[in-house]
Amino acid sequence: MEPSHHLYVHVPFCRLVCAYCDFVTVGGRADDIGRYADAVRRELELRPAPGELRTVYFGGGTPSLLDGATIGSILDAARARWASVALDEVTLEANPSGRETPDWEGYRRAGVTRISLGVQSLRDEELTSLARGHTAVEARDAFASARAAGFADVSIDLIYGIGGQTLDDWRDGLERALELGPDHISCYALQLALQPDEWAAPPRAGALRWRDRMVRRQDDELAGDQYALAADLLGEAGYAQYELSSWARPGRESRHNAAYWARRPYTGIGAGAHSYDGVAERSWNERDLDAYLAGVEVGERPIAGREALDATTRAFEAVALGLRRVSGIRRSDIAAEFGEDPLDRDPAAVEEVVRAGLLELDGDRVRLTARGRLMASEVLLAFVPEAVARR
Amino acid sequence: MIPPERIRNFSIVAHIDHGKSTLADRLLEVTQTIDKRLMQSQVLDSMDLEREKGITIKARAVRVHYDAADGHTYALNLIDTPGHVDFTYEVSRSLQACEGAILVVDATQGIEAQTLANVHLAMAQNLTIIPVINKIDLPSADPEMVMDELEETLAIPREEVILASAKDGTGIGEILEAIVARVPAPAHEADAPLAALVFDSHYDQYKGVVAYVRLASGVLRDHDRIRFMATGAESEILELGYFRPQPVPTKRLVAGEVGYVATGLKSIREAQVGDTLTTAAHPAPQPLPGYQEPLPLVFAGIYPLRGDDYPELREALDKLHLNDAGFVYEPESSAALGFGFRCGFLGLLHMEITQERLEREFDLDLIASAPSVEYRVKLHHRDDELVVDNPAQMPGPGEIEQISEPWVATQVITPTDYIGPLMELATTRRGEFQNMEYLDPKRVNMHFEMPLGELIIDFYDQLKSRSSGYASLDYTYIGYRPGDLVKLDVLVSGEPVDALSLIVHRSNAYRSGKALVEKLKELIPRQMFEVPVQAAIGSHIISRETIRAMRKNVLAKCYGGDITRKRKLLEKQKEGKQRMKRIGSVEIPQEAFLAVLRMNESAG
Repeated sequence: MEPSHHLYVHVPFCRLVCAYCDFVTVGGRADDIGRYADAVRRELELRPAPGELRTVYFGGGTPSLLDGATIGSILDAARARWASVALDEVTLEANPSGRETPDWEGYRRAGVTRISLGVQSLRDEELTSLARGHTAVEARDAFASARAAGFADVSIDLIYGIGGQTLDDWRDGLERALELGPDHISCYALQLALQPDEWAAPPRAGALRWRDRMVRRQDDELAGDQYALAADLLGEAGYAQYELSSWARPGRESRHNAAYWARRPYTGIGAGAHSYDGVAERSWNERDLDAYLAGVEVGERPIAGREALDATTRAFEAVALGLRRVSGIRRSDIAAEFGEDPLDRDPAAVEEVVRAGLLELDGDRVRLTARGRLMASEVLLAFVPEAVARR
Repeated sequence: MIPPERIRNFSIVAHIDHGKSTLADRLLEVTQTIDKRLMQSQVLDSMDLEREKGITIKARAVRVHYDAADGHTYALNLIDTPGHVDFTYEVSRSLQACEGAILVVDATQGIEAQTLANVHLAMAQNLTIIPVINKIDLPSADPEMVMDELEETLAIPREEVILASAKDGTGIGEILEAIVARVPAPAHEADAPLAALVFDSHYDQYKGVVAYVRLASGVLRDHDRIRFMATGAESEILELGYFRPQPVPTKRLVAGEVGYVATGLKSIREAQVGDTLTTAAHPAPQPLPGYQEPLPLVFAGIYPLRGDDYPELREALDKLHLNDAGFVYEPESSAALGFGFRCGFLGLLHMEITQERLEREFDLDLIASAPSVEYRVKLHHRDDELVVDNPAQMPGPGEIEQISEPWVATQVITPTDYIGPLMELATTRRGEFQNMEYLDPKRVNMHFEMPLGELIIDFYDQLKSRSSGYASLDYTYIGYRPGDLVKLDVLVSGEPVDALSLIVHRSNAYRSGKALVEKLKELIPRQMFEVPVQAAIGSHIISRETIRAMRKNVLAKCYGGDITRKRKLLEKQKEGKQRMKRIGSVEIPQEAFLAVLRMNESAG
């Protein structure tokens, strides 16, 4: 059997760029959507197509600015490119704005199986404070339309840790979300990058000011309570947590995302998209839309950077990504792959996070505790290789 | 050669930012001592650090040739002075080498208290003062107001004042003429035996100790064998010369002249500021007055952040020690900080400068403990006294019969508006008020005696903040006095952190303990565990705060495009952690070790 492979397609266009977002996005470039779709299909031709293609994920940006026919043409190009295709999940991220009319029927026809709806909140005051450009009613309508079009697998995103959002507000938002009955819920803490960093899209000045104001109103302690509340409410409602920020009804876990955490190989197509060969190399495309387009149009993959992962780094990533999953990691798996039990690298540091009640050792299994999920970075620091941290 | 009657030796006295360095640059430029195009701004401040702090650490002397209006060429020696309370003695030696001083006052700021101490110092040494009001080109300049002030505070007649702008060159010619006309030529007993005042010295890798001297009498020739009268050190002269501003070797210097002597001596302690240089063959009958041994008054532990940097730190301290007579050090070890050095400094600023130099010039990451003074401890059943300059080394309360601590006489010059707040500040620091005199209706000089240990902890900053920056401070060591002192220990997560111990007066122990643990609570980041921070005297806990456990440190999203970025973020976080000191299981940032310096911010 061919090893599984996964395809990510980035669609950077947004009608409105959110101030908190640091993904690769562009506003006011809707006229270039057609040209971009061409470029994406062309890039697919330029890239190798190894293994068996199992999942496709259209992320953004706002992929729902593309119509069903365009999405279909990209999927067709992918199907044509891969010798072996056995798609069991095709996700498309959609923005629930009443001013955009996602082509639900078209997506269905194109072969999309799963919708990830950027609801963020079902409370208007929170949507306003996030400057989302849509209302709770519009979000409900979008959800209903997706269902009406026949999507059996719909996920929604929710944001907590918003300045001014109380624990009761969050409870209310969660209850409203549960009323919709989604199949999958992602709850993200609002995390604001205040310093430009080379890995994120450079924020505009206005966005930075917004973040500065927002960050002053945020409260980690409260966000911690909100996270714990989400775990309780969603658990009671039949959603099982399977990753730090992800809950799903049985069988509705995101397979595409699971592939990232399992370090499966993936090909990223589009501006700023990252790719991983499943072994030792990660690479990424030009983030700038024009640079990306220009590159593809002259028939070259517009690669912006690559990094070779040595065994130490790969072993660390195996731990870092594995511990995001509620099921955690198996020491024997990592020892088998890298020849070293991850707990042996810095036993004192590991012992400390265990003693602090953040990490749980259960025979071969290592996983974060409920409290440790909120402190994942602190736990991972115990596994960061010395040599890397000291450069 | 320019005859002694056409030599003028002078300094510039000015408040920080009032334009001393710019004026010096302008004088050099106008007299074509240096080419304008080649001029690196502010020649006199040779170290980067000085430029940033706006202070001058090393005095230097530059000779300028000036063709005066009378048709003669004069040699003007500009002798630079350091500008801080820690270096009062060095300032006084620089001034002693001069006959005149240019007093520079900012036309927009008016005279500032800090300048007064130095002007008084200059006046006490009978120097001719040339008052200059600088920055008159600025729109907010108010030279009339400043002239009123000079008249009131220093009895300087307005007709003596020169209006200038060092920036655009206004008044520079007038200043040069005033130096020639008003400053007396140095007395020159060329026939007497050589007596030269060392007003500065530094260590040079190739030439050994270089002494900056002002010849009071006699002649110094480049083949003389020289002797430093206080230390007895003797050497041949490697090089004799003066600065223009680059060194210019010469065959001889005569009474009245200023120059440098490269001695080849290996330690700056052999040729210290204030010493008298003479010839071994015909020594002066007595040294020039006023010599003092440098006296380290403030002590602190300096530790490498990483243990493996210890040899580098030792080497750096060795180098600094060669070049800084006021700096002493010896190895010590701390349970919390590992191996390091106990260092002694002339004062708090001297300590700060030294630490910064270590970090900057030698690229070392350091942790410094809170500053301390040297205590003398009388133990029960023992005759001799124990000398303790590190609070961690203080014996237990049961063993101690009596502790004595150094006291200083301080004078605080302040506008009358701030008498109340400053009086309060001094008395809360156990200051004993002596008397107060009016310098003019609006300005007083207050005299206190107080323990030096109280003065070095944040007193200067408090003085500045309570007087809107106007008050100035000067202090002199007066001797040891017994005090009811106790050692305050800090426990973090139940473990004593020796580097955070301090000695306080019993009456202040509770307040200090509370302020210190509150400050530490602010400075120590949340950890995975709850961390209690306690202050204790012996086994008695007097104050406690709790740093709550960290609640949240998680990256919400991690998908295909995030993995590299998030890994780098974690690597950076790890690096940050490694820059902290681990005490038990608690990571303590460097700032926490200086918490004691800042603990009066809230209390004050």
